[in-house]
Amino acid sequence: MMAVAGAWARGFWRDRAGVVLTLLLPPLVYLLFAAIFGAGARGEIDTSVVMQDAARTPATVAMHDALARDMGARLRTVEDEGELERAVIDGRADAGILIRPSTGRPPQIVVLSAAGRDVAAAALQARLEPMAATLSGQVAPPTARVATVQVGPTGDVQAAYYAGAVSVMFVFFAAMHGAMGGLDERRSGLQARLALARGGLAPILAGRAAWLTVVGVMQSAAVFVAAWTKLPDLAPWQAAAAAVTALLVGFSAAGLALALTAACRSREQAQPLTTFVVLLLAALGGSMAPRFLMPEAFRALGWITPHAWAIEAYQAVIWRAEFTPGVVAGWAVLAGLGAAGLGVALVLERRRAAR
Amino acid sequence: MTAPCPCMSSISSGRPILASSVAPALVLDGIEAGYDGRPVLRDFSLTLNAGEVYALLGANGAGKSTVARVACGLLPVRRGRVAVGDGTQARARIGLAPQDSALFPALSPRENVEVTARLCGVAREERRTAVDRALDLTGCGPRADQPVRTLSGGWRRRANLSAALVGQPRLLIADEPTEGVDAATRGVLSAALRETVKAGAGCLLISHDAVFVSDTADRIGVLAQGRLLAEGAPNALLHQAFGAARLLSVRLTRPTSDAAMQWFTQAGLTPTDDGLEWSRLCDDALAVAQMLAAVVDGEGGEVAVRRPGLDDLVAHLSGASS
Repeated sequence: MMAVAGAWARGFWRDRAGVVLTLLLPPLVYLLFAAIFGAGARGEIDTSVVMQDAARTPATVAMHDALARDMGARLRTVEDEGELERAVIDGRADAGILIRPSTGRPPQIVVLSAAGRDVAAAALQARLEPMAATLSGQVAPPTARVATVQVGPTGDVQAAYYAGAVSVMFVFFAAMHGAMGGLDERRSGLQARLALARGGLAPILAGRAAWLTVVGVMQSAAVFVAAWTKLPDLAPWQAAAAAVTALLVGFSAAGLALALTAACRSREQAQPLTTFVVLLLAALGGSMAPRFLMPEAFRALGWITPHAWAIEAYQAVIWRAEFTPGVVAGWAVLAGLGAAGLGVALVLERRRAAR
Repeated sequence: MTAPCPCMSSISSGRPILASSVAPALVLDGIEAGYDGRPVLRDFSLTLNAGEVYALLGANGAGKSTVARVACGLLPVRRGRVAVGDGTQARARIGLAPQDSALFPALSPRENVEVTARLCGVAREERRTAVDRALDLTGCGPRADQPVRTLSGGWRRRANLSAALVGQPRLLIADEPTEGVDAATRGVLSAALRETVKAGAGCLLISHDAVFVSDTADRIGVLAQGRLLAEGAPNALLHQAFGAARLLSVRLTRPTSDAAMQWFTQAGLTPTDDGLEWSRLCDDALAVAQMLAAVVDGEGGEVAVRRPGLDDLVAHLSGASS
């Protein structure tokens, strides 16, 4: 087993470009994901707004100035209602504010929204309600009737979330790509030779699984190193539990990758199949967007993916500093998937050899 | 033991082999095996002695590679018995040199051979010697430390065979070891196989290279449609099949004229499908060649007489069996 793992390791290290891409891309993508998707999920939606003040009363001018101070360059002013609509429709602005004069009555405020941008319009509407009340001479409602108190750990939870989410996605990608080397070995007869030399296929597949697991652990480590400054201070037990999670993520990815490639005759078959499976698992499992943003049905469906279990385990041990039964269950799922994948790969490879 | 094919003949090798008390390297007895319910080998029997190179010859699809896979245990048999050596740790004592370059491309030949040595269970302290010996046997030393992906086909063939030899196999299976190699490499590989069987192994050689087989094999078996048609020493089989007959062949560069065609037909020659080559096996080939020389010259072709080779034997036996 170690001889095969060692051969794969040497092949890996000699492909310098491959090493760099394998270990550098995941942290880079993590930083991008954390920056792009993290901000939205944190509530920091940087809505861009276009405004036309057709009323131009002292009160509406004061309102415009207040918004401009707050939003800065994200607020633009136009002079024409048609231009306002076009800006919203073609996406140059997430929402529009139209202030219409009204004879004998306070100016009327209208929020313009395009299809699919309901969240931006709702946020803007909530922000403008007190201003509209003031314009109409009413007393603005108190802005904090309901108190909000944050509980649990403080800090950048999304950065911690995406460290787990992105690392899991890349570990599965890398495992699928790496396992395809086995297809070349099968085609060339190398697999048959090694199996004959060792007395069976099991040690050969175990060696491949061992190496793919090591690559997975290295990738996870690279992502968590990039995320280090954004993670809470970890106790030794937390670091150890995260390392175990990374190990099991690597093993589950290796098992699944070996099973899928064993089911394929060629790279041409394996390439689209593994890409589809990895993307599907990543999407359902919360590697691309947090599962709490998904509809309930997909949230429940996500538990069929190893990604969801792994991300939950990372969140528990790293963010919440909890070692719950859920973590153990996640580990069991990951280990079980890895072992099952390895078993399926062995059965399929044996069958294929006998064809 | 099942009865051999009716048309099968068996002629012993002229080369000495190990004493009969040594267990055969491979016994296949009454084998029936195939793929997806389609039988390829039917009632197939073969005994490969320790100390001999046994070459399997046959047209594509005759079942040669299936025999190799059955011998390796990679293909289960539906009926019959497979025995390798004395049966102890049999699979681990089979060295396989597949048709393709079965090597890790990023590793050097030395590293590849080392990996196989480790898997074969060669002890750490003996490993370096075993690896060097396997590389020396195939003359792979000068390129032993370059990555396989940078080597030419011939060097890869050497490395491929070295990896199969490092475990000192009791049974060596070499599938088309000379495909795409030059004459010098062919000689080295032949010597490596001879050296291996001299040390007590048996070698099952699968090859279309008639010259290599003639130089290397002690015995050959001609296979067609999953059955052995004949087996024995190459020269003896050739003599049995053709006696003193020679192969007369006429090669043309353009379609034959009607007059020439009449001459060739009267002389008993038969054409190939494209009509550009005519041939006949006959005892008086030289006399017939002299008779046809002027006609062939007028047609812009050439006439040749040679001893039939193993390719002709395979074609002859396969044609007779079908």
